[in-house]
Amino acid sequence: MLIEQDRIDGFLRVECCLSRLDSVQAGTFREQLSRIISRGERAILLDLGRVDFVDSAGLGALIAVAKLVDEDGQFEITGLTGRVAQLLSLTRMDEVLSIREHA
Amino acid sequence: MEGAVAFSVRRGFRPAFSVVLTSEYTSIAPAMDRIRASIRPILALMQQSDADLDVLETVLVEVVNNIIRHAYHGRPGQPIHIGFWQDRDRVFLGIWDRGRPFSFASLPPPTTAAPSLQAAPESGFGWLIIRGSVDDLTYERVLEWNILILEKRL
Repeated sequence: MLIEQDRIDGFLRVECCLSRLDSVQAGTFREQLSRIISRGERAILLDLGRVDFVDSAGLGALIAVAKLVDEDGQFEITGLTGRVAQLLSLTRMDEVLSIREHA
Repeated sequence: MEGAVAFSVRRGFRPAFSVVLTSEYTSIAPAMDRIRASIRPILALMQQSDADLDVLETVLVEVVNNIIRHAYHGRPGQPIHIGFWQDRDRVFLGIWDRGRPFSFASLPPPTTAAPSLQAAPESGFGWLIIRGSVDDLTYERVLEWNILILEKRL
């Protein structure tokens, strides 16, 4: 589900290989990313370029892991597709998440 | 909401199409594939794009999530019916379930912008998404059924 790709500007780029981040996948997504964070990674760039659909459960998981890193690190997301960007805008979570235009 | 559609739903008038799924999260994506395939040609005839289809799917997923979580309390194998009607410049989605009655009073208040990431909520987005994506919404409890009707102007 999550692939650690490379390091960019000190950030570990983690690619989410799901097309849907939804109620079915949210728990595993949160667990896998939390495991990476618990290793001590403090700058994570989450690439959502392959994710076409996020529901409220997926969004909740995204916010939860962002908070984990944000306490003493940096968490950014990139590669937002149109639908995912719309969801973040509708819920106003685009105002609290760090969004990078290009990886 | 136009009363005729609610009347149609209650009286069982045939929608343009309908789908029945059961109350497991894993049943949602396959059902959405079927629904998208059915709605796409109808919206195309109405000269609407896939963007409208995306909005309808987003709303439906949130409604079904809520039914599974709150109406059925995660109990699998329970029925969820989805019907679709069209008008000249509007579409209607009807969703029926036999779970616990729905209480609008128990809904969380609409989310406002969080002052920071740490203060941001991790749940409660579903109704915000639904309310922000449709033009009208009505709920009725008829016999043992919850009937939710969503209207979206195109």
